[in-house]
This record gives sequence, structure tokens and C-alpha cells, in this order.
Amino acid sequence: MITLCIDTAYRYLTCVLLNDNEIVSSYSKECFKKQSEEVFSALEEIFNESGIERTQIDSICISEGPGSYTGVRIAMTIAKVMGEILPCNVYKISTLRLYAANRPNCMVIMDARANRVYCGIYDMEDIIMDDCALEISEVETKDYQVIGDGALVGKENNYGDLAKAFVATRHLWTKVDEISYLTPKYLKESESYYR
Amino acid sequence: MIELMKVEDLDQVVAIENSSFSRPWSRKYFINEINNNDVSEIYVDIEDGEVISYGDLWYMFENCDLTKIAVKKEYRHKGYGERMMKFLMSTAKRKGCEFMHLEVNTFNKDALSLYEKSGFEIMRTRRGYYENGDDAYDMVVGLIGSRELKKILAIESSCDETACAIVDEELNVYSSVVTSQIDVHARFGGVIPEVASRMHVEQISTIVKSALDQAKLSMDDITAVAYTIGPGLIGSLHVGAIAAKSLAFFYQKPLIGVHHLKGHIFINELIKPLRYPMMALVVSGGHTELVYIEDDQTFKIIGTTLDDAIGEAYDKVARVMNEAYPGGPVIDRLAKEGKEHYQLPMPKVDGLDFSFSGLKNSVLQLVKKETEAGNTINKNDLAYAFQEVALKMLVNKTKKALEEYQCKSLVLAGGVAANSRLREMMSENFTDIDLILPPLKYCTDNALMIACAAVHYLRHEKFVDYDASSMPSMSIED
Repeated sequence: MITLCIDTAYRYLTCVLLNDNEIVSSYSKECFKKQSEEVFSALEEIFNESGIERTQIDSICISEGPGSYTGVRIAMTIAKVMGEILPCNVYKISTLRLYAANRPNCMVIMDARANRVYCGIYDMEDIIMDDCALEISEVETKDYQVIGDGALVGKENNYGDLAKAFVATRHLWTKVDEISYLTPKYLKESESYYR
Repeated sequence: MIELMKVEDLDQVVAIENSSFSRPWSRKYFINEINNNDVSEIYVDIEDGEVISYGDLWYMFENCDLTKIAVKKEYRHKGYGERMMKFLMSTAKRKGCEFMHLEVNTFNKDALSLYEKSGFEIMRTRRGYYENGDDAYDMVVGLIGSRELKKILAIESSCDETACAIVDEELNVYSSVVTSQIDVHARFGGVIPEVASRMHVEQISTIVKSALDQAKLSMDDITAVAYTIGPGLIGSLHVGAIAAKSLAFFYQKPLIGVHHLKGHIFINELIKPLRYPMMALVVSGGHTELVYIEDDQTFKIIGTTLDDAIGEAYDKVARVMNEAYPGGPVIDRLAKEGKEHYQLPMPKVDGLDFSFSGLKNSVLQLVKKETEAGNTINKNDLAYAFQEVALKMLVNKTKKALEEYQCKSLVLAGGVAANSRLREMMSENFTDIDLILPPLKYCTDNALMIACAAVHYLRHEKFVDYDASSMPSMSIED
């Protein structure tokens, strides 16, 4: 089973080719707001390195957000189009849950601009607090290990190894039944843009 | 557009027949061909209801006979014969024919040159074949040996339409799918970029899939993938770009980044052959430009708006009148009921450029003055006054441009090309040039237009890399 994993939701561009649970090749670099230009070069690199035929993938897993709107849409568009046309299975995982990487007692923080953050708290498989957008002042880090933009809440920035995070969270991926209905997890409703 | 001949085309076809052949088919013969001859199919090339050319094929298993092809006198030597010929050959091929056969008078030089150009070869000479003793050549062309036509899948997502279409290099259309978000944006009086981007993501995979399904093709049949690289809303452009790049990357196809307005221009090629040099009047919600086109690769903007685009001006004036978005169709409709009543000054702009903000202000002031005087505004008359001035500016500048630049054809392109009064004014004012008005269904954004333009990019092997950035404010000269 060959799976292509892609995360373009935030600061990093991460692409991984998995053969079952083994990483065959991977690419993960900080690439803020440049993902749309670089994602296919990254994919080219991992496909060439792996020797896997591009059309031979069995499934695609993407992080669905929250994150940068444009960023989230990149992996989502690739997964939707290829899932439908190749076709192949599509799996999704919350970007924050991916970042948590199945760690125990882990809070994930991601800049949502305007003094807000996206925040989710996970204890391995368990969701302590579901992904939401908060004012920075509302965040209480308590004893949690902080992953992501920790500097915003007085900790260190730490993003972990996102290629390995895909493997670590594999049992938490959700299979997408109807690819055409798949939409990003924005956490901010589009209605707010009508004002 | 080339389509199957209908009974209502009879008068025109018979007239062309009579002026083209010394022993023409009778009207009755044509009726019989249409109604009773099961192996015969007659195709006509029609523009605005006028029959330009026609061709008759008899399908007989793996062979087909070209029994008739004719072009209306005033349209000869303009590429219409070749256009019909290409259509007939690709249609016959699609229907499973392996050969096309015909007979031609050995003295008919024009026809012979068309057939030879199309690949026909002389099989034998039939002595004294015609009643007057003239000889005929038997000619034949192989259809299956001929090269597979290159097909392009194109995606358009620059504003609020998500679309995908497939055409081949000879502009045979396999599918064209469009979904519009106009209803959503109409509720808010304009396109909200973030909302548009979100809707593109929702639609994109379904649209691409339906385009392939309707065409009964798979990605293996596609030669190249095209998309709108700019101009447009950046977030919207992104979605189409990523979708196109995905297909190009996974199936290892060349990628073509098409300028949106070139799409609006080249879709006119589905209607009739374009002749260069050509002038294009591009009018839409984002653009008002006069473009001088030397050949299919050389574009020069010779006039542009100094402020609002014409479509924007329509939207703003509609808002002043408390009418719905988009303003174009509304004002066009109101103006039809209106009459000459209000006076609006014609903005003075040098050279070939346009300006609409002054006109919009004149409308505002007029409304203010009338309201203060206690008069109710007659919307129909106001729409009429605004439209007449705005469109006259387009026509006047186009006239001026054609005085400065010698052109063989003039095309109208973009969303505002759907405006009925503009079409009327263009037809009245440009009678001595080959004027091409796009059919209404091609005026709004669609992917067919991107595919039509992409055919030219493919011909010149103008491809882009996967890392090509979308260009929200790209110029047509780039």
C-alpha cells in the first residue's frame, strides 16, 4: 500500500511517501506562503527518490486545517482532484492533531493572526480540547507539552518531525467517503467575509 | 459554428448551391438527403443565422464519400473551406471511417488545392466523367493512419466560475463544464474573494471529473493540461492552478498557463477563422482594453481604461439605481425600455484610452440633482443615457484604433460582449471589416476559452513549469 501524505497548511511543506507504515522518502521544509510554487518540486523529489510511479499511489492523506487558508487549500485541492481522477482513497487529519503526533498531554498552538491562535489539546488518541480559535490571552498552557508556535504563549517554537507525525497518527486518519464533499477545516466561517 | 443541417437552412444552402455548381442539386434533392437518405449527413457552418459553407458526407461502413462541399461566394479564400474540410474529416474519423473519397472536376483548381492541402491523393482519372466531357479525378485520403489529434484539458477559476473543458488541436469540443457562484455573490453585491476561493475548492474535483466523463476520455488521452495563470483573484487562480498542476504532475503532461483574456479572444475561433492582424475590444468586469494582435503570439495593448473597467461602471451605476449585482444585464434590460431624456456628457479622454469614473460621477450628480428637485428618477431613461454614452465611447475608440492600425478582423471579447446594445452598435458601425461577435454562451467565463487559447500555446510549445506563480494582474502583452 503506497500512501502519499501532504501537509501544506502552515509554515512547513511536508510530503511523505509511505509503503504501508514505512517512510520511503520524505521532504519537510519551512516554506511559509511559498507552498503552492514549491509543492510539486517537492513531490517530484520524493517520487524520484522512491522510484515509485506517480500514478501508482493507493491513497493520499492530507492535513485538512486549520491553518493558512491558501495553504490548506493546496493539499486539499491535490487530494480532491487526484482522489477523484486517479482514483485513489483519500484520508484526512486535523492539522493540529497531526502536529500533536500522538504525543501524550500535548497542546498545539498555531498563529491565527490578530492576537488569536488555533489551539487543540490531545492526549495521544484522546481529544482533551477540540480544535478552536482562541484569543492568545485565553490560552492556559498548564502542564501540557506545547507544540507549534509556542513563542506566542511564552514557550519555545517547536514543530517536531512532521513526516514522522504522519506515521505516528496513521490510526487517527479519517477516510473520506465522498471526495467531492471534502472541504478544508477553516474554523472561521466564510460568512464573516461577507461584512 | 458547424452543426447538422436543418430544414430551415434550406433556402440559404440552395442559394449557395445554385451559385456554386453548373449542375446544382435541387431543393427537393436536399430535402430527400435530410429526411430520407440514412447514410447522408449534411453539415452547415452558421454564423448569426447565416450559412457560410456546407458539406455532405455519405457514410458507408469503413468508407465515406464527400459528395458536396461549398462555401458562399463572399466567404471564399478566407479559410472556411479548410475549416469545413477539417471538421468533416475528424467527424468521419470519429464515426469509425477509415477512408474519405470524392470526385472532382480536373479543371476545378480551387477545389483541388483544398483537397490536396487536406491530404487527398489522386487515385485515377475518369475520362469524360461529366456531361460536358470534362474529366474527373477520383481522390482519397486515409483517416486512421492520420495522426491522433492532440487534446487539451483546461481549467478556469480566475473569478467566480469553476470550469473545465476538453478540446483538440482542431477545436473539436469534447466537453465543457461550468459552475457559477454568481447566485452566492449576487446576495452581497459583488465577488468576495475568500468566499470564491472556498467555493472553487468545493467544486473543482467534480468539475474536472465531469469534463473527462462527458468527453468519455481518460487522462491518458490528454496531451497537455492548461489553466488560467492570470489575471484574476489570486485565491481563485490558485485553486485552478493547483488542480491543473496536479493532473500535469501525476500524469507527466506538459503544463500551459493561459492568459484569461486570450481565452476570451480565441474562443471566437470556434465561430470563424481569425485573420491577422486583428483588433480585439476586450470588455469585462475587470478589463476594458483595445488589443492589437499581429499574430497569435504578439499582443499589444493600444488603449485601456484609466480608471474603472466598463463592467465595474455598470455595477456601480446599478448600485446607484438600487438595482441588483451584476449591473450589466440589469442596465441592458432597463435601457431597452428607456428613451432619450437625461443628458450625460461624453468623457473626454485622449488617444485610444477609456475612462468611466467621470461618467459614473455624472450619473451620481444627476440622481442627486433630480432627487433634490423632488423629481423621481426614471430608471429606464437613466440606464439608457448611461449605456449610450458608455458604449459610444467603446465604439468611437475602436473606430479610431482601426484608423491607426490596419486590421483584417475585429473581435469583441469578455463578459460585456453579451450586452445586446453593444452588439447592435458594433454590427452597425463595423460593416467593412470581418467582425466577430461571440455567441452569448461564450461571453461569461468558461474553460472552453482557455482550451481554445491553449491550442495556440501548444502549437508554439509555450509551456510553464510546476513552480509557475499565478499572476493576478498579468498583462496580455506578457
